[in-house]
This record gives sequence, C-alpha cells and structure tokens, in this order.
Amino acid sequence: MKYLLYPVLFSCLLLGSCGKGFFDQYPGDVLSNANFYTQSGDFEQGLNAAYANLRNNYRWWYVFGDMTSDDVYNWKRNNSSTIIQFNESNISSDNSLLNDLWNSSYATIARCNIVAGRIGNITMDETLKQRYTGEAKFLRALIYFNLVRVFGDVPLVLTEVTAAQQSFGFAREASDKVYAQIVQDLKDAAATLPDVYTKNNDIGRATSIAAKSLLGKVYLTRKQYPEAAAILQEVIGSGIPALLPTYTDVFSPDNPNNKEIIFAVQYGRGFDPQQGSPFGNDVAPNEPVNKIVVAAGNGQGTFLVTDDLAQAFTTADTRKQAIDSATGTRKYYFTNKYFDPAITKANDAANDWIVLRYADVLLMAAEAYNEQGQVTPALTYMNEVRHRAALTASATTDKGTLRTEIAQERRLELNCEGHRWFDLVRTGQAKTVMNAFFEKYKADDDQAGKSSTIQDNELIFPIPGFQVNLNPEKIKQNPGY
Amino acid sequence: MKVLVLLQFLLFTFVYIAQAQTDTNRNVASPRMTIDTQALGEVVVVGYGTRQKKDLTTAISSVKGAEINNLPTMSAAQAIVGKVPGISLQQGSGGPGAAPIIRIRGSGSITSGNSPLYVIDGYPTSDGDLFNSISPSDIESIDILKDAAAAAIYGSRAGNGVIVVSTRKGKAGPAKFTFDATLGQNQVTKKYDVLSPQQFVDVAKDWYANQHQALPAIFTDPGLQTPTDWQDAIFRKALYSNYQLSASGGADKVNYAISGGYTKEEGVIKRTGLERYNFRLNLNANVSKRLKAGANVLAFYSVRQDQPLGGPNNQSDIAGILGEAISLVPIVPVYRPNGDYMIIPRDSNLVKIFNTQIYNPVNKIDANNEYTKSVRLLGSAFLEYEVIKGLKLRSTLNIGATNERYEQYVAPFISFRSNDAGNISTPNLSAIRASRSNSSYTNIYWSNTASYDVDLAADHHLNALLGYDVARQSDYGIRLDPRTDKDNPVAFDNPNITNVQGAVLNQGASFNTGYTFDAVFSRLEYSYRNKYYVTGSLRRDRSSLFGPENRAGVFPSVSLAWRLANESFIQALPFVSDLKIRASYGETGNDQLSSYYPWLGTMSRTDYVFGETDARVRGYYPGGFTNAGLKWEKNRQLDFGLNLGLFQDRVYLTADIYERNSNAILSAAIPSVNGIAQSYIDNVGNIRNRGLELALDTRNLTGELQWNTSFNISFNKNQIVRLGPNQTQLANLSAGGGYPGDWLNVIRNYLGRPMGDIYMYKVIGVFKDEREVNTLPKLGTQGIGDLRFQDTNGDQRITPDDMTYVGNYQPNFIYGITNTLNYKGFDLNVVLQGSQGGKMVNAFERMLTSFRQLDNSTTAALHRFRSVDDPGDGKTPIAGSSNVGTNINPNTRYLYSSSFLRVRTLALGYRLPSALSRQLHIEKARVFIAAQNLFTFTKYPGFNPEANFYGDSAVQNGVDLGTYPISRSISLGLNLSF
Repeated sequence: MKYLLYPVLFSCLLLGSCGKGFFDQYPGDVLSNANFYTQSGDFEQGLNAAYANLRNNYRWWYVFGDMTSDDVYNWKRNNSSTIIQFNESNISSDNSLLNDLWNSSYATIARCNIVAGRIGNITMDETLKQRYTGEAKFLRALIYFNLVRVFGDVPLVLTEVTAAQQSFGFAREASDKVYAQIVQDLKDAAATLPDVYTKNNDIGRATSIAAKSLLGKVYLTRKQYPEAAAILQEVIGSGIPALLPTYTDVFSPDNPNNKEIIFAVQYGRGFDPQQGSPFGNDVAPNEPVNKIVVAAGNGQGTFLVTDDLAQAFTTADTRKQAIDSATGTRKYYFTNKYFDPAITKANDAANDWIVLRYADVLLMAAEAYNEQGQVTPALTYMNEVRHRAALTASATTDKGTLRTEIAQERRLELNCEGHRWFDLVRTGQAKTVMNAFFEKYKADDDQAGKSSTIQDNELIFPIPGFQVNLNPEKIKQNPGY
Repeated sequence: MKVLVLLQFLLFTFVYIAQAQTDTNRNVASPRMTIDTQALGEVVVVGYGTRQKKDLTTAISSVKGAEINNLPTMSAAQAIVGKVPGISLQQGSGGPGAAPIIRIRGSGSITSGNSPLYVIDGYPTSDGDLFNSISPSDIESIDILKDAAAAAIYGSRAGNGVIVVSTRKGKAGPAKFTFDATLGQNQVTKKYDVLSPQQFVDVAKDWYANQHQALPAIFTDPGLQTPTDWQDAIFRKALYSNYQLSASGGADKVNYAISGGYTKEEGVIKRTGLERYNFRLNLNANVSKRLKAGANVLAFYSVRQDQPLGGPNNQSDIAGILGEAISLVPIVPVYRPNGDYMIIPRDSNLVKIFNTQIYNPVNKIDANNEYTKSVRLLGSAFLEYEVIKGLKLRSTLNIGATNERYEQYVAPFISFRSNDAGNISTPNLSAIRASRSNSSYTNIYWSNTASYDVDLAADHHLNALLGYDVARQSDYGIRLDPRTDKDNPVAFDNPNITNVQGAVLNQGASFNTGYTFDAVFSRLEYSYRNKYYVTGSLRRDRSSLFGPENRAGVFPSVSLAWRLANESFIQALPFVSDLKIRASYGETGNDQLSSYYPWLGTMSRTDYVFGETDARVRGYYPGGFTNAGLKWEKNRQLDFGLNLGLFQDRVYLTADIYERNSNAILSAAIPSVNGIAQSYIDNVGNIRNRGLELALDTRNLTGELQWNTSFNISFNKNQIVRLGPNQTQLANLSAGGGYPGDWLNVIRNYLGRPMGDIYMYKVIGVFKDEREVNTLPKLGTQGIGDLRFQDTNGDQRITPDDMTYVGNYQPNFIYGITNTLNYKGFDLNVVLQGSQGGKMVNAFERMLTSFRQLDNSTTAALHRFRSVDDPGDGKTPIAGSSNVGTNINPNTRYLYSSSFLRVRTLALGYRLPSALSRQLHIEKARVFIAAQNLFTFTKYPGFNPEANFYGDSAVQNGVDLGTYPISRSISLGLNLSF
C-alpha cells in the first residue's frame, strides 16, 4: 500500500497547483488604462496628448486646404499619387490621406471626450477643472469644424467610447447638428478659458481669444454675419492679439506664439524624440536646385507654390518675401514660411503650423461687416492688413468689389496656411475659380493636370472607403464617390 | 464540466495503478509479433516519452542524427531542409547563422507567430535561435510532431506543430571520441544583373536625348568615368570553419556525453559574420536500482556582426546597402583621390547629374560597427523513480537563460540621407550614433510526470501518463544611447573624440515583463495485439498572457491506428511488409503573441512643446481597448494517415491528409470613430489549412553499391474563412513602403482567399505612338514609350481600381529529394529542394527600372522601347520618360514566379578502410568535399527566390526588398572517431 503514497502526493501537487495570483502579471514598464486619469496632473497630460495629436490632424492639412486650390501643387515625378489626386480633384475614397484625417481627428476628439467626461468626479482645483474642460471643448470643436468642412455630415462622438464594440453604433449626423455642437462647445470654452497664459509651459494652449476667433470663423462659414462680426469684434477689442510689424517675423521658427498667433500647432527643434515639423521638407523641391533649401538631401516637392499665386503679388507687396524660387528641371516657387535655417536633421523644423492668427481675424471681421453692408469697418480692418504688407489703403465702397478685394487679400495674406480651399468653398467661388485655373494651366501637367475639373459633389470629400465598408449600415458614402 | 472530465481521468488512472499492484509478480511480457525491419525498429520521440515507429498513431516525421551529421551545415534547421514532408523551411536570409523560417502545415495565425514550438531535451521554448545554435553533430534526432493529436500533449503552445530535439547521450562502453572539422568558402550565388558602365552610358545618352537636355561631359569623356562594380565593392569571398570535438561513454551506473566546438562564419557581405562557441554536457546516473538522475547543460556564446542591408529608409526605397550597391551608377568611384568616400550629394561635380538619394554603401559598411553578443544557457536536471515495474515518476527542473548584449557605434565619417556631411577628411560628429543595450531572459520550467506502462493481459497493452508543468519567465532589458556631448565623450570604440558639437543628451529605454504558465496533462494509450491502437490525451493550460476571464484552456485529442500488417490476411501477402492506417483529431493552442499583455489596454506616451521658448511637455492617451476575455488561439486538426511498406520495406510510403482550422486571434477592424483604436484584438478569425503530404523512401540498391532515395512532397491550401464583424479583408499592406503613395495596397488578405494575394497593374505593352497615347486608357499622364496597363474594369481610364489579382506568394507544393549512395568507402549525398507555383514581388527592382541617367538599371533596359521602328521587346518602357513614377508603380513587370529547384547539398565523402584506420588507432576516418546551394534553377532574377523582406509574416510575404543574399559554399571536411 505504500506505493499509493506516491500518486497521492503527486496529485496533491497537481491539485494544489499555483493559485490565481500567480497569473496576475502586469507590465512593469507602462501604465494601464485602468490606473490613469485619477488626479489633476493626469488630466493635464491627457490634454497634452490631445494637443500633440493636432500634429497628426494638421500633418496633411495643406493637401486639403491648399493642394486642392489654385495656390499649391505637387511635383508629379515624386509619384505621390495620394497627393496628386487632391491636386487634380480626382479623389478616390481609398486615398490614405482621407483615412489619416478621419482617424486622427477622432483620436483627438476621444482624448478630449475622456478628459471632459471623467474630470467631473475628480477632486481638484475648481478653476483648473473649468479650464481643462474648456480646453477639451475648444479642441473638440476645432476638429469637428475641420471634419464637417471636409466630409459634410459626420458621426458625432461626444462621450468616451468604453468598449470596442460600441464603435459600430455611430452613424453620420446632419452637419447642422454638428455645427450646433461646435458653437455650443466654443461658447463654453470662451466662457471658461483665460484670455492669456502666463506660465511658459502653458503658452500655446487654447485661450478664450482662440475660442472666440474660431467661433467667428464658424459663424462666417454659416453665413451668420452679425454674430460673426460681434464675436470677432470682441477679439479685436480685447487688445490682446496684434499684427507684427514685419510679415515674415510671424513665421519665424524662433518666434513661436508671438503677438499675432492666436492658436497654432506647436513644434520644436532639436528634441529627442523629435518634436519638429516636416513642412520645410515638403515645400522644398524634390531634386537638387541651385540653392540649399533643406538641411540634408532634397525636399519632397509635395507643397510647391503655383505660378498663379507667385505672380499674384504686386511689386510693393512685402508678403512676396515669403515666397522663394529656384530652378531645377523646372522653375520652382515655394513658401519659406516653414523653413528653419537652424535645422540639423530632416523633419525637425521649429516652425509652428498656424491655425488662427490676428490677420485672419481682421480679414474675417472685414468680410462679416461687408456682407452686412457695413463697408467702413470692413475697409478699416482690411486696410490694417494691407498696411502691414506695405500696400496702399483701399477706398472701395462697393460691396461686391470689396468682397473680391477681401478674398484676394485673404489669398495673399494667408497663402500656404491651409485656408484657400475652404475660403473658396465658403464664398461659393470654388468651382468657378478652380475650373478657370485648371483651364489656364492645363499645359502644365504638374501644376494643374491635363484634364482636371471640379464638379458640384466634389466640394466635400469622400468618406474613407474603409470606414464605409466596415460599417455600411451607419456610414454611407458621399454622393459621386 | 472540463474539470470533471479531468478528475475522472485522474481517478481512472489511479484506480488502475492500484489494481496493477495486486499482480506485480505476474510476468508482464507477452509475445509480441514483431516485424524486424530497420525503419520500424526506430524509436520516435513523442511528447514526454518515446515510442517505436511502428506503434505510432499520429503524424510524426523523424530525422536521425546520422542523416544530418554528415551534412556540412552549421545549424540544425538548415540540416533538415528538404528532408521532411509537411514542413516548409524558407531560407529568407542568407546571413551568417540565419535560421530558415519554419512552418509546419501552413500558417494558421494572422497576428500571432506561426513558428513551431521547440522542445529541446524536454525543454519547451519558442526560441528558434536556441534550436538553431545546436551543432548538427550533437543531435541524436529531430522529431516533428505535425498533427494536433501528436502535438496536443504540449497544449496551448503546440498549435503550429512541435519540433522535438534530442541531443546525444552517452552509451555504456569505453570512451568514444569524435572530431569533426569543416573548412569552406562562401560566395553569393549570383550577382544582380545590372548594366555595365558602357550600357549605362548608352541609357543615359538616350535619356538626355529624349529629355532634350544637354549631355554632361561625364557621359562623353571616358576619362571622367571610373568603372565600378558596386556589388564587388560590398561582397567578398568569405571563409568559414567549424570544429567540434566530443567524448562519450559510460560505466554501468553512469554514462556521459561531452562536446565542445567553435564555429566562425564570415558573411559574404563585408563586415558581417558570426562566431560561436558551444559546449554540451549530458550525464545520466543509475543512482540505485530504481532511481535515476541526470543533468544536461547546453551553453552557447556567439558574436554576430550585422549591417543594415535592405528596405526603405525614411522616405525612399534607396537606402539599404544592397539597394545602393545595385543602383549606384557604375561610372563613379568608391573613393575620391584624397581618400574620402565618394558621396554623390556632397560632390559638386556629381550632385547635379546623379541620384542624390543614393549614398555610398562602402562608406556605410565601414562606418557601422554593429555587434550582438549573446550567451545562451539551457540547463536541466532530473530525477526518475521507478515505483514498480513500469510506473515511473519523473521530475525535471529546467533553467533557460539568454543574455544578449548589443552594441552599435557609427563613426563620424558616415554619410547618409538625413545627415550627409561626414567623410574621412571631414568627420561629422553630430552623425555619431552609439548605443548599447543589454537584455536578459530567464525561464524556470519545472516538469513532473508519472507514467505507467503495462501489459494488462496477454494482448492488452496500456500506457498512461500524468503530468504537471509550471513555468515562470521574465524578460528584462535596458538600452542606453551614450551619444556624446563635450562632457561625455563617446565612451567606447572611439577614444579620440573629446569635443563634440551638436550633441544630444543620453537617452535610454527599458522593458521589464513577465509571464507565468502551468499545465496539467494526461495521456492514455491502449493497444490490442499490436493491431489496434487508441490514444487519448487531455491537457489544461493556464497562462498569464490571456485575459483574466479566459486564462485556462482545455486541449483534448484522440487518435486511432489499425496496423493491418499484423492481420493474417495481410500477412498472407508476401510483398507487404508494413501497413497501417491512422486517424486523429486534436486541439492545440497558440500563445505566440506579439506582447506579454495583449489583452490589456495600456497608456501610450506622446510629447508636445509649449511656450514662447519651446518647452517639452508629456502627454498620455489610451493606446487600445482592454479585452479581458482574450483567449488562446485554438487549432482543430483532423488527420488521416497511411504507412505502407513493401518488399521488406525497401519501398516505404507515408501519406497524410489533414485539415487544420485555426481560430485566430486577430486585430479585428473597428470603426475608428471611437478615437482610441482602429482595431481590437479578439479571437474572431478563422484560417483553414488543408493539405496532403507524401514521403517515399526507397532502398534502390542494397548490394555493394547502396542507393537510397527519400522523396517528399507537400501540398497545402490556405484560406481565410472568417474575419471580424463586417470585415471582408485585412488592411491592405504595402510591398515597398516609404513615402505616401509608394506601392501601397499591393498585398491583400481577403475573406475566402489564401493569405497574401498580390494585386498589381497588369502591363500589356507600351504606348507606341501619339495615336495610342491619345486614344488608349492612361494612368494620369503618360506618353510614347510608357507602359500600358490593362483597364481591368473597362472605364476607359487607369486608376488604382485597375490593380488586379496577379498571384499569391504561397506555392502549390514544396518538395525535397535526398539521394544517398555508398560504394566501398565512398558516400555521396545529394539533397534537392524545391517549391512550385508561388509568385513574388521584386520590389527591389523598382529602383532599377527607371531607365535614367540618375541611377543604374537592370539589363531589362537593353530591351527598352526606343522608337516605333525599334520598340524593343514591346513591354519595356523608354529611357527618358517624363512619367517614370507611373512606369515604376506596382505593375507586373515586377512580378515573378518564385518556383525553384535548388541543389541544396552535394557532398562526397570517403571513409578510410577500417584496416588502415585501425592501424592508426582510429575507428572511423572520413574526409569529404561538399557544396551547399550549388545550383538554383529559377526564373527569379533577384538574389534569392525565398527572400521576404517582411520576415516571417504570413499575411505580408513574397516581397523582396533586400534581404541577405544566400551563398554558395564549397567546403572540405574531416570526421574522425576513435
């Protein structure tokens, strides 16, 4: 019988095997979702991650805002077919840049939703809590504004998605509803955010000035001119932002968050991991030219200035200095708003991507007043911008003429900053201007493509095809794509 | 329920053990019918035990040490290439010591690994490098458990099959020594067929003429040209040597096997190579009549030197050393007169003429010092106690440890794309890269079994196994980048630099992860009269890798065999020497996930800057969703097999058909509006593999001239049966990568299709004249001499929608043939290996087919379109097209058949006559001359038809973008035993 002892001992070993705790292994080197967002500092860092994602949101914004317009083109031989589709207004729904914008936009929104949603239950400084909530709402509004202008109706996600399967539940919402949310968020943000920040580590975060300026842009887009003029007037009246005396100083890599900047996507040079901007490399031609334009190698040639824009400036216009030129296999024009002379490696420029600046506010105010027939304030604000560019003041009194002048001023002042296409769409000029441009330059395959045209349906872009296929019941494609 | 089954099984076993007590005195030996042929007497390793081959009920293939000891290969994995059906060994890289990618019965997983589990002397590991480090001369046998019933005893980790390696043990008797030495030379099997200097100049002249540009002087004045073969500049004839010495023997109570060796293999690419030291000790002692004890230690130290060879760098495909060596223009020198490296972008004469994205590969090779030094140890000790005859308790403790040290130092004369100012005369201190990292991996694995082997009655044989295994594993690593600043000069390899500008502060990284695992398992085998066999096994595993809700998994299997050879009606047939039919079903798991915590959503870090002066701030965001229900990938496999021996087994056929359904963990796509993740890890996929394997061994001649042939062939069909909700395909994958628009969407994985379909534009010719350009469908802007693509959807224009299915990387079948001839003292060993029916994308050629003045081209350029009257071969574009980007988009000019037949090994040995060797006090002395990879018959123009840039991915495969070329080796060797 003693032999029975062994199996018994053995089975004790088996049955008394390792307890449950033995298997509870957690990473020793990363935080898990469950133990974050518990204290004030976590929310600041959660918001920082939303700000940081603006870099992804705006990475290809020039393709949506400028490439599509008569201002910017892509050097075709770099074979960047996704960008060429935008240049020639021939965008297919599987274009990866659509997916990039869609995905990154909702990522920023989610980070804002988590902060706004979870902060309520946290015991922390009440002012800070208000401010964080306001920042989250500003960023969310900014991104929805971009989404609704690019895609039209979009899913409206306003709370944290806590389980993967919930992702299938969101359908596209009418753009009116999206706009209503944007306006509400911006009003809330304007009410809770400070006008300025004093700590260096905070400068560059959303302010009430930024919220009001963006709200002005939203109203203008919705053609709510009195509301637009009123809120923009508040910004102008605040005395906080101002024009810099010299146009090119606005874009200087060593002058971030200067007086004129209202809100910008921030970049810095020489950090590790890299915090620099890639635009300087994009704007430079993709072949050796007669001057060194980027620190190493060539540029990408995906963000070149059209002859049409380069030649639109009058001789006296100092803003022309922001456009450089060089010669390789063709004559190139390119913006130097994103050049950083101190750059030491590729894609590491310090130049910020400006989202809102005071000149934009002045021109928006001019437009809002002019559309209401108030020519005097319109002229005043437009001439402020002209004055800085060393141009003589305009004395136009005809609303229609002034409308054209303001539009032209916007083009020259804000070129290569991601505005042109949306300005053309907002003012109803996109088809006319672009089809004329395509016709005029059709001999130059790089700049315009040989047979490009714009149709009515192409004023908004296709929803990423992948997202449509994944959730066909809720996400329908835009017409014509 | 599952627990109940397990308990019943336990109880059943114990009751039987108890009953068996009562008649221990009974003589258990019963007369067994035996067919004594060589093959059937072989012992095969099954999980936690061994069986005679004739008693197998499952699909197991074996390679004996004797078959591979004589091959001139340096690793075990290379030695079994072509030898076994159902196992694919893709030699994707030819680098020193590189292991083939091993697949047993296809790929069943999308996001997890598809590599088999290795069990090395009882120690289960997924470390292929450990397996690959073992010297072939130390190997007693390699057994490959292919069907799930064979593998199920290894449960949760056996889903991709199991490779069981047994190293040599000592045998009782006087000491025996062996000494093996091999010396050889390697060189690339082929060079890329690029244009000669003169041919290149012709293409360039054509380019300038067609572009209406002035021809630079370098193309007309041979005095300005320096003919250079850039491939010769980076390749070399490389030496290798291998020495192994062993001693083994034993007295009645103790036996031992000790071996040690040294291997050095230079790479065929300069400044690459591998050096390895190995030793092994195996000791077994019969402590008492019933108690056995033993220990086994394997130790390796290796130093590997690497170079960054392939692939896209940053924003251009032209980056890796190989790509540069084939695409650099052949008329510029390696060095400038002052001793500096020639760097096109920094050379005022060349910068405007040639491609400024191609740097000097010799410069990179010389500047990059990259070493991986690893120590691998595997030690185990066991005790085995025989309680009563046939009942054995065994406990084994294994410790596996790997310590890996990685060092890289890039000297300041480096010149590369984003930092190109460095050279010999102008050291660029900001380009210095220096890093060191160290990682340490330990695994404690304790395995306990009770086995009982008994003849119950005259004709009934029973074998039962019970066991419990438990493991705790930890993985830890730190990395430091001691980039220099003036207070911290580079600490190693370059003591001369003391003052550095453009410095970056030190940065570091670390990881620290752990894993725990345990398993209870049991197996019961029963046979009746050696005719009917039934085996059942059941195993329960728990692992910390999975969600807390689903840590445990149960893996059953059952297999049946009927050995017809022992039935009288078959025995009546004199020519049939063996006949057996088998059937099995089993479930196995796969835990080769990409992370230790795949179920857990973790926070990701990102940085940002704020301020009037840029100040960095840190941000955190959720990197994914938590899935507490994540569980094992489960494979369900059904197998039917046949063994047939004819004429005293001179002809022996093994055939198996199988179906393997893998419930795959998959990163299921979810709408990205959630903002947290675009996919979600869950057990939602289903991959099916169906296949047929045949192995035919024949002893053709058995007289003085002996001739044996082994032939094997495997067919496998793979299909994606299910993906996530509404998901009809996995995200498209690129066959190149780099800047947006580069060869995206070429590799696709659709529901209902095999993994890895290839989609491309179909080339149907070139535009011959203006009329064709004006009337035929075009892709963007195209002109005369540009490629014409097929308008597959008939919409009169060419768009990405016209990219169409053109093939799949998976072959229809793979095969191997081994012929062994012996005549007197001579032996000849020929191993052929082949693959048929796969396609592959030569993305490497993208940079070689622009036909322009900037960079070199393949010799396809010789067949280019020149004019309507001289259209070349009608499918090759013009030199000097303005639409190069269109001509080099993913189209079928880059698609090739990957079928090949390779003479893997050709070895001729001569064994000294025993009379002579005995005089020298040598038992056996053999000299041999051998060639590896002597010929490869293939239409593929690249270095290697098995190359895959994406490593061992099953869903992104068949893309050549610069992997280490395989080499042809010629070696001389000596085997002595005394």
